[in-house]
Amino acid sequence: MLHAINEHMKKNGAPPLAQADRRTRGLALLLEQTARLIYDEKHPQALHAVQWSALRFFDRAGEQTRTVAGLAKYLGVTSGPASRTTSSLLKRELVSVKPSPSDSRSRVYELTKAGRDILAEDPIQRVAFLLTELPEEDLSVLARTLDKIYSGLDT
Amino acid sequence: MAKILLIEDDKAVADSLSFVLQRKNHEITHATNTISAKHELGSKSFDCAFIDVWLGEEDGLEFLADNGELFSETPFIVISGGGPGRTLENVTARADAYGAVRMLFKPFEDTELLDALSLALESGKG
Repeated sequence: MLHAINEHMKKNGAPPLAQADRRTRGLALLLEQTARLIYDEKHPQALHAVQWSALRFFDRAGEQTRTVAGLAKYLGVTSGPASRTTSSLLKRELVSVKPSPSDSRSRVYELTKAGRDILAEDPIQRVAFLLTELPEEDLSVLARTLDKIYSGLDT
Repeated sequence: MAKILLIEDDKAVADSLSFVLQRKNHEITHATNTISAKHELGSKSFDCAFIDVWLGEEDGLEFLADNGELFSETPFIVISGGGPGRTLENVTARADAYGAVRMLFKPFEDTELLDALSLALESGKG
């Protein structure tokens, strides 16, 4: 269905809001407002969403992939932005770097204690905690629904 | 010894993973696509499944989402090195949301593979 909507929007542009179904528009707005609430820290030192993504990646990736190239692949960006994100985390001493034991040309990143400490306060955990209260059936439906919406928006 | 279903279309990767797992005396059944995987899951029981995300033209996570009942007793580990259309970050979130015990990013060490398997076998499923 999302494919059909995308095709329609490519040909005719997005429908005016007044024409969209009120209920689905409300749901779309709730989704957007929920996403905005996740990273609600406004002070200058607050990490950006992409920096949180990088910390999560360095936390769970194996030694062979904890590199700038690995992060670039994970985020779906070129090496420039991945390198800048990694540098910002290095500057804040949230990650450290060492030569790769298997490839001397490559540098491997890992979380420092400060990085692990800040990741323990990952804002996504607040959402995950709230979701633990949903029954299994609702979680399955939510997973499929969000996957479909993401897929529809990403094509 | 654990009975393991390996859903992987790349023969070289499948051979490499099988070699490591068989060296630990695990029994491997190899499926190269979702049709074969569905047949194996419907006819045998497994202690764990490894599933690659990009199976040629097929999406391994779509297969998981559509066939959740086949994995109700079988913990699974998702493997990906990235692919077309989705970022690895999105693939990881999908794998987690569909209930993967662990996500392995290619390339990975043998110890990561065996640690993930231990986690799956201890997960209480199966």
